[in-house]
Amino acid sequence: MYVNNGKISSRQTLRLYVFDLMGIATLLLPPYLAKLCGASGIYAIALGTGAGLIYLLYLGWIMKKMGTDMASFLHEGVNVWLGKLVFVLIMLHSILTAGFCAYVFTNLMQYSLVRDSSYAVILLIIVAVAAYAVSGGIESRARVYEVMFWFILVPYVAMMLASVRDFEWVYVESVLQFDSTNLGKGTYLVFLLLTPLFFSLFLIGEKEKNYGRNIVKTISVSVLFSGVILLGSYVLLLGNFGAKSLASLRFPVVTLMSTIQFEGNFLKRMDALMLAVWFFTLFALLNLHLHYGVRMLTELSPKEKKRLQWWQLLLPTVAVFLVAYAIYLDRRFLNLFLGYYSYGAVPFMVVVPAFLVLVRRKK
Amino acid sequence: MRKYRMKRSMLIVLASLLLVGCSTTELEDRCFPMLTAVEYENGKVSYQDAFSKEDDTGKLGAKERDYAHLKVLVLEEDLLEQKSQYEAMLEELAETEKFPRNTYVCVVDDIDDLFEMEKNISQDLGTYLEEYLKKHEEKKDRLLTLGDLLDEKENQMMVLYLPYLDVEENFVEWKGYVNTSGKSWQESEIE
Amino acid sequence: MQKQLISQHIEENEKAVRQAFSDCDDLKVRKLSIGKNGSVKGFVCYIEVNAGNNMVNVLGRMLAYLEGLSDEQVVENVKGNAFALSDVEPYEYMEDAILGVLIGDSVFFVDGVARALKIPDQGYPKMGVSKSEAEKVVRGSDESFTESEKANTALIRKRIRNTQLKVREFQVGVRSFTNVAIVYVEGLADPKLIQEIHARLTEYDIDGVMDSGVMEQLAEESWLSPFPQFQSTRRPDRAAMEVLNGKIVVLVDNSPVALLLPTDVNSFLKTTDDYYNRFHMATFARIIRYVAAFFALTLPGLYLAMTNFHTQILPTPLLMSFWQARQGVPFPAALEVLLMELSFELIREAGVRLPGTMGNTIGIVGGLIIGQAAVEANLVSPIVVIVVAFTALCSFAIPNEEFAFSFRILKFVLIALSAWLGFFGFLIGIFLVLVHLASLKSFDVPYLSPYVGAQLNEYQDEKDSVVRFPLRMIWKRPIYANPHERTKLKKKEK
Repeated sequence: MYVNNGKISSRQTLRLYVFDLMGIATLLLPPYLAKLCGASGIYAIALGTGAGLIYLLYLGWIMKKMGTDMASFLHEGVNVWLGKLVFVLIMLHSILTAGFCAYVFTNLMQYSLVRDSSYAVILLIIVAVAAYAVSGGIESRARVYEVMFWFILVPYVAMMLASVRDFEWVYVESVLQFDSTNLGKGTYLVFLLLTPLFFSLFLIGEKEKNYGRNIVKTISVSVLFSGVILLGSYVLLLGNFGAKSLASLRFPVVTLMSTIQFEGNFLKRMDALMLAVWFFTLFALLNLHLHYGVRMLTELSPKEKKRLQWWQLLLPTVAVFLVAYAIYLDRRFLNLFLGYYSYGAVPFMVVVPAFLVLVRRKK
Repeated sequence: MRKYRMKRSMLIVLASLLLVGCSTTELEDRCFPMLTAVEYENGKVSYQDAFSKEDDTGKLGAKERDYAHLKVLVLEEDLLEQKSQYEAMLEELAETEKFPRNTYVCVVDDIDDLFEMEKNISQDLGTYLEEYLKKHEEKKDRLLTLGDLLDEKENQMMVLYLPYLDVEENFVEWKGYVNTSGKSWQESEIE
Repeated sequence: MQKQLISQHIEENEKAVRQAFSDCDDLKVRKLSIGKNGSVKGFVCYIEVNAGNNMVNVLGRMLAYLEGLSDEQVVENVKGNAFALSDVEPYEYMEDAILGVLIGDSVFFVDGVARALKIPDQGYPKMGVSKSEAEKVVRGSDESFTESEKANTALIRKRIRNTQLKVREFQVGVRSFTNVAIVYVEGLADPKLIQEIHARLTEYDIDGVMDSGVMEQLAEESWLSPFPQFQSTRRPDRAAMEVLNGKIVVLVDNSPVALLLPTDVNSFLKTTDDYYNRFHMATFARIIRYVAAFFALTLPGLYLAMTNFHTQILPTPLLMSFWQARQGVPFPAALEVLLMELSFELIREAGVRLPGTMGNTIGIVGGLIIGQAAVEANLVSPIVVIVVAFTALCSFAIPNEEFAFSFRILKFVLIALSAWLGFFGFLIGIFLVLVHLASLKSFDVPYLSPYVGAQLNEYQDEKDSVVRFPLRMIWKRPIYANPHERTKLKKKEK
């Protein structure tokens, strides 16, 4: 009837993307931005969000040109081998990024909740649960986040607003001083975390004349929403910690949650409870990439069997585990990943769609 | 049947992880210091709390200190005179994240007097001092927390003034503020 | 609308009645031959269980009166209602006759007579119907389904006196030949769903069906899931209400429990009096039930996560009282919680199996005496007793027993995960439950409706979720109803 048709509603798309973008951005960006730009990091966020919106418009143009979702286009619109190559590249990108997400996620959980537990065990649990979530298809994932949206967002915003009490204006006074090179780097950093937008090409939209218009409209709201959340969080973090202290903290937003004091004795320290915010948002991002890793493998497989095969789920899952564990074991892998993400992933996501449209097969 | 095989296998993997076992300390095997004092003696920094004596005599047994409910961190006046030691202490606290960042910080002249005082009050020292400091907070500026000290260690943008308390037999008295960037006094404006 | 006069021809009348009651297997049409030679045809129609002594009595006297008369005399007597029976009244129009059947009377047609005779009957089952012991409500009917499928269909028809209410009967069980009825309102229920449920109910050859629970298990799609995918009810008003919303009811003979489909998580937390009470009260009760459902699943796990791992969440005085309570308890906290939860389940099981008054005694002995003794002997801490008791209270606030059971069973998973990994394990457990619920469906309807996919019905279904909007604002049927018949409430045009 209306379940399991590969489509998700616009409300689900909006909420899913807010989770995908907001979680990792609020967790990882502030210390790096504070290091690069200090108080002027707010411009980097605004510019990065703007760049994300422009990228989205560009993707909208690509969608219109393709006239269908990217998976169908790669099967029918371009040379078979080129299509397969792009599937493989997207699969590798998805697995690598999912591995990095799993690494960050495991780090956060170990650091904040289960310090004495083994890293490998936590990672294994996270990856196994992510695989279970992916096995339910994109719809079931979207439904989880549709339900959880306000349960996550309202406490987060409430906690951030409560932190205003300890805000020090002196820490944000230098907002007018900025270095354009660092601002550029900061903007790129913000944009890097908006790259999951690329996967909007795979969303199945209505077969309208202007294909993808609704998808772009919906996701642009998610980008703006996440941008505002990130901006507000950054200003509050800056005002609470100061730029240099912010840069020295591992997960400043979690630290902030542990310092917020409410009147009375009941809500003393909410950091453990508030970790649910990043638990769900990071799971959203991990699931997004693992989902596309699995899906690309499915697209590359022969089409006889419709249902997802066990090995199609298992192989990317194991790969994600190995990537995350390798990053944990050796920092050089982390640097390699960051190098790939900074110099390889973004050009790929920008150039390849346009290239595919240019070399499309003539009907 | 095949449909469920994948989900079942994943659930079995998850369930088998339960066998790894847990490493938690039971509630009754913990003790909760409400106040920790940082003492400076013979060129060394040491941490004292209500359980230190029991710890020294072995009465505390295998009980683990849980600082999650630490209310006040008390610095001995002498420590502030040793800038390098003070900074090393902050460095250590930032690294280990041993104490909660929202712990209030104050300075006293003599830590031994403080622990002596505990015998004469009806509640634990940490809660007593927290309530005492909060009463003053209502009248004056926001009290400083460990988080403020750690932030300022990095930012170096503000001069922080810690409450300075004088310990009497069974009460404390607010004397004024101590500048953390060196021992400079500021007389209390509050009575 | 123009009413249809009753015809003189018996065949036309029978056709009209059968057409109006097509797919209504609970309608009985009994043909009769009347008069001296038995050459005058007639028939009596009635809803099956409504035929009682009165009908037999009145009809018997009428037939005895007509027995010795010629054909012409029969017709004349019926026309003139010459039986001198005060109970018998004539109908001129077919619609009135049909309504007469629907309200529980029998109607007598005779060939050559352009009118029908109403024979007042016992009406729908009343006195034989017991009070509902489960799913109790503060306001509303106390009637409960009986063990007869026929009586149960009549109890629904009593509330929906419409020929559009269809009852499709068939037998299941190669040896028991148990009657199973699918009840729905034509035009409101999705036709594909009717076909699907029929196919699923007849998918297996089974020796016998002793209760609707057997059919439920055989027809479920995700049979490994702890969550029920059929809603069950013992209340005819609930069944009737849901049928009007486009749901389908399955009744099994010898079972007082009806199955409703499709269902969703919200349906399990609703009660009938949510609609009988004003919306403030209904909303408040629903919020309480949702919170109760959450704590029924999570409270012991949360307790373990907070006391063994993340003590910072608790206020200091509360933590200190927990700490004090744990002193001298010989078991680790996780084992203590587990033992108490299992003891509670034991008391519950013992209480259910014993006869009424003894069951209550077990509750008192187990809950109060053993509980207090265990605390005094320092076997368990009083806090754990409070946690377990509160969790039990929360699970009792869930109106549907099967749904409450899934929470009770999953609570143990959360206890294990929280004891192992603290709040991280707790979150993993919650996430797994959510993912499972999100992938679950009841006859193609997402289980998490109306919180997901509400867009498909213009967000109207959300008006009847945790917050129950005023009735005048709930004007649309839920998503599973026939898309062309979604309006269920509108203001009359003046």
